[in-house]
Amino acid sequence: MQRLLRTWLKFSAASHFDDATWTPREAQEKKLLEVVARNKDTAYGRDHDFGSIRSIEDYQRAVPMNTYEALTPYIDRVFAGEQNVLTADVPLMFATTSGTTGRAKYIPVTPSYLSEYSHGVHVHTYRMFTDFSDMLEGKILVSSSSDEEGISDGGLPFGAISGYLARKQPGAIKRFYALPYELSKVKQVESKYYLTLRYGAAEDVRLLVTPNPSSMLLLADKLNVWADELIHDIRKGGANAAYVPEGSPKALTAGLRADPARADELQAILKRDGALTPRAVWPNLRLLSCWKGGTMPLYLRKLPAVFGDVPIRDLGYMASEGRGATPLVNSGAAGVLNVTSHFFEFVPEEQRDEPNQQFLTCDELESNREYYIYFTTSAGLYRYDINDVVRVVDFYRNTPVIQFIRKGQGMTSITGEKLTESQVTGALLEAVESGGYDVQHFTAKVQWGEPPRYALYAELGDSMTTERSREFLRAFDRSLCEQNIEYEAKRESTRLGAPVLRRVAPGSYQALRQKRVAEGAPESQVKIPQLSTDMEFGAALDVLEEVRLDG
Amino acid sequence: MAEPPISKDVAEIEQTLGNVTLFSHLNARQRARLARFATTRDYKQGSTIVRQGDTSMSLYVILSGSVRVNRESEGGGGAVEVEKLGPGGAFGEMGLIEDLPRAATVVAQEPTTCALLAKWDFQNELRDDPEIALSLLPVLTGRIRELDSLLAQAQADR
Repeated sequence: MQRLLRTWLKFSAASHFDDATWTPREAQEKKLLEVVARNKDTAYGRDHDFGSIRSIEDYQRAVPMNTYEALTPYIDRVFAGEQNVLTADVPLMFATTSGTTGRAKYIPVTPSYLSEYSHGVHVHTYRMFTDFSDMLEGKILVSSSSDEEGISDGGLPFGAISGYLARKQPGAIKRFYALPYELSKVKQVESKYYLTLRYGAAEDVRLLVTPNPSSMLLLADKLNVWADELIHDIRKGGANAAYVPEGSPKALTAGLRADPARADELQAILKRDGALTPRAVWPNLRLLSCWKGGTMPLYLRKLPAVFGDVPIRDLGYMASEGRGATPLVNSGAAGVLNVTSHFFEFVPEEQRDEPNQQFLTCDELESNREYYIYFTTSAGLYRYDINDVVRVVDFYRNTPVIQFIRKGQGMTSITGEKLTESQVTGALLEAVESGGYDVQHFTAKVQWGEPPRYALYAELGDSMTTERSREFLRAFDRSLCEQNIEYEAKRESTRLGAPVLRRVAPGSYQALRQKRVAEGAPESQVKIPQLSTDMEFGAALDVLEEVRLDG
Repeated sequence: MAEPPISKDVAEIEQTLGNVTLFSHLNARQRARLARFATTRDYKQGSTIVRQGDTSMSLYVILSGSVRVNRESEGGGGAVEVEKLGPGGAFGEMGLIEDLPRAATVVAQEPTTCALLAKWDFQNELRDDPEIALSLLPVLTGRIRELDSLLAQAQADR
């Protein structure tokens, strides 16, 4: 069965992708013309004369760059149940996006789009199985979110693609996975983590996949906190009723069989080590896969302490709107552009606000330059501005290897300093490493006043006394000056005041995540920014202490 | 799997691979096979070719031009130039074997052309022709000896 799965992944996706990386421009044009031809008789296709498009250049002339707002009149019609609006395919569901403020975005998930999306998943999976050949001798623990958060006006479900993929997995494939689909629908964070561990701790987990590395840290923490309860439940079968939401389907707990032998093993680990740690519970764990770029390094640096030297591979640059890149190695946080999944265009980062932006195709990119990326997919997103900045870090054959750097909107500028989230993340890491400060979660935001300044909300460890917190604040301010010369100049001229640190109550960020989930964001995709442009950020947080540098 | 399109520079790449220390024990047939998988790329003067800490996917061999190799010291204090490389020079060799991030930042000092060999293609060749792996062993053991010698010298200097 393992060999069959590997062969299927290779010939259904990996070989096709691999061959295309020699000639990415040709692969991209082929993909684009396939999408355009399929959708030429849709309302959008007719409005933009898809029938006359024969090349990338034709497409760029016929179709304007789109934001979600620009496509909203079409998406609203699809959401209401009208067919043949953006895509000839009838959508199966809508993927909801997270991480943005305001109204939720709904991406039509058509069979062709699902095929494009899965293509990237299959390439990623195939390469992991190739590099870690005994991975399938144990289980894969993958977190996923509900694909049925609600129902559109036209009667289709909306939610997370990850849940849909989990639901549609063939039975033969499901046996490799530790968690049942029904777990993706559990909304309560505590229940979800308990049941994840209840299933996972009973298994020989070889691959752990959660988009956000902070979820891995939380799982490791809870594994120990709930050690006795987990061992008890594994010994007796089932799960502590306190963690099983009322009205849950039987299938949620049907797989929780009694396993006294495994309970004995875990009990012995607990007795020997005084704790249950992932390293001891899953000694055959071969790989962790999660996001490594953007704001994730704060959490990534803590993973070795709990998972040991297990390699970490990026999960890939992806969103509900599409899969941008697939990592093929463990080093760094970049992946090879998915040239056989969607059609991509790029605008140099510095040209973003210029009237005559230069749209480039993947064969025109240069090393180490940052670009805004635009997607064309079979979900009906045409030249779609996802507002992400990526950097080219290498080339695989002739195809760029890209890394997600930041959201375009993750930029603030009070006095012209144009501070980016990646600069805040960089300064944060440098400060944390310089003094070994225990900063667990962190978000900077603008605070207007005389003078204006940045307010830093942070969840800190017990070792962070007021004096240590002040030292950290000073180190962060200094590092930010090094990261951004305009910030330094404005600080020196006192046009920007010294930052202020607001220590928030333990558990505040977890509560924030829970709130976002309750609002409909897929749990595994919730990202609390390290630089927030939301002026209301922090208003609902319980601030325990305010630490200042300027008296 | 499709055959890679043959680079117009394949003869030059094949010849230059002979200068790469890691490949110094490969025979002509083995070098020719590897050269078929290489692609070429041009860099402007001043452009950063790879950056320390980034994902490492390929070996780079300089066909023309020159580069500066800089490394950030671990304790901070900025980048230090560790070497300059010209035609026949290579960087990212160990990345073909290990899965570690780039160890240095490499900047083109003038218009520079590099041949790139992807780790995946190199390792596939190793699987197809294990003789290549045997040819690498003398180079790798030589490096271990060099490091042992440096370590012994450093201990003696204490």
